[in-house]
Amino acid sequence: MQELYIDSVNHRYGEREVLSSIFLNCKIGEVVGLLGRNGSGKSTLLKIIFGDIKPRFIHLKIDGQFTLKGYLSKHIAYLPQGYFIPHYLKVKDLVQLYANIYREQLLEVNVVKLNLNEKVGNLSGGSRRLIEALFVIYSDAKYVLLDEPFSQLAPLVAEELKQHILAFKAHKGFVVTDHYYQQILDVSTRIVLIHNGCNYAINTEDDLILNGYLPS
Amino acid sequence: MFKRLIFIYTHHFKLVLFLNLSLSLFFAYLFLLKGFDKVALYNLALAFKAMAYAITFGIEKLFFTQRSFYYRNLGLGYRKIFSLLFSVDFIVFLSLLLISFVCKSYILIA
Repeated sequence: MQELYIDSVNHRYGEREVLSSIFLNCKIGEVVGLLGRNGSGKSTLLKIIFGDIKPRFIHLKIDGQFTLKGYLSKHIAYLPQGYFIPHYLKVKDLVQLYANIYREQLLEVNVVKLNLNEKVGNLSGGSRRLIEALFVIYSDAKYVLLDEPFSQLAPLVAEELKQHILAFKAHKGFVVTDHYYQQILDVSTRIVLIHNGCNYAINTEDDLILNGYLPS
Repeated sequence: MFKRLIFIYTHHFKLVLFLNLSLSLFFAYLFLLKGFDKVALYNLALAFKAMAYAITFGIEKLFFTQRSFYYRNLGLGYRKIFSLLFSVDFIVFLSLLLISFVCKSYILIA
């Protein structure tokens, strides 16, 4: 079974319980949109899956194999909210480093092709963000976690990023979270809302109003 | 995996490698001057090497936290990166001491 499966996630910051018995799964071919208010624990959940945060309890399986830290399995790639690639590295070196299976396709992408000899730090904020997202998407990992990938991106660039996600949907599973909820609704095959530490399946936009995510 | 580690060491740890190698060379020189039978010198060398490793790790954790995602997206954790780095450095240190000991007479004459 090709699936990222996480169950019974429990995490607290001090006395405040952020996540309580959270369940989430993502199969290859799915784009799971994760929505929630500020501080609801969306980013924390992604960091827990990736292995950056150690929760109080976790039950994580990748393709049926129990895993403690997602990144150690090499099947999970994660785009954090901020820049994560050192500014002094060149795009062409990073292509070699991150992309093996999909290297040729990545080299065909305009923003990569045009900036191959540039250092990441010399790119504009939007281009840098897009390129970092592309490295994560075009990496060899089967499951991709994207934390606010559309922030800092102009509408056209955000549209381009969506096309890349959709192009890879057949090969990978995505978990995407962002406050630009319309982008998430556009790109996702399934929506999960995190509210009060628990997760709710969302079927229609009205469910988002019902669960207090959108104003009525 | 090995290719990725080499890339990380050559792009982010050049200064660390240079400083740790300098420390090893300095102690090899001290052993040549003072002799290889001084237990206190061995303790001092080990203490300095341990301190250098702790400082290296501390600086990475304090000032380059965002780099952890960059490493982890390559499937590498701090444990793997630093254990290999420190092991290689320590082997180099021991090798330098051994070479200095074996070639002591030749080096001192030269």
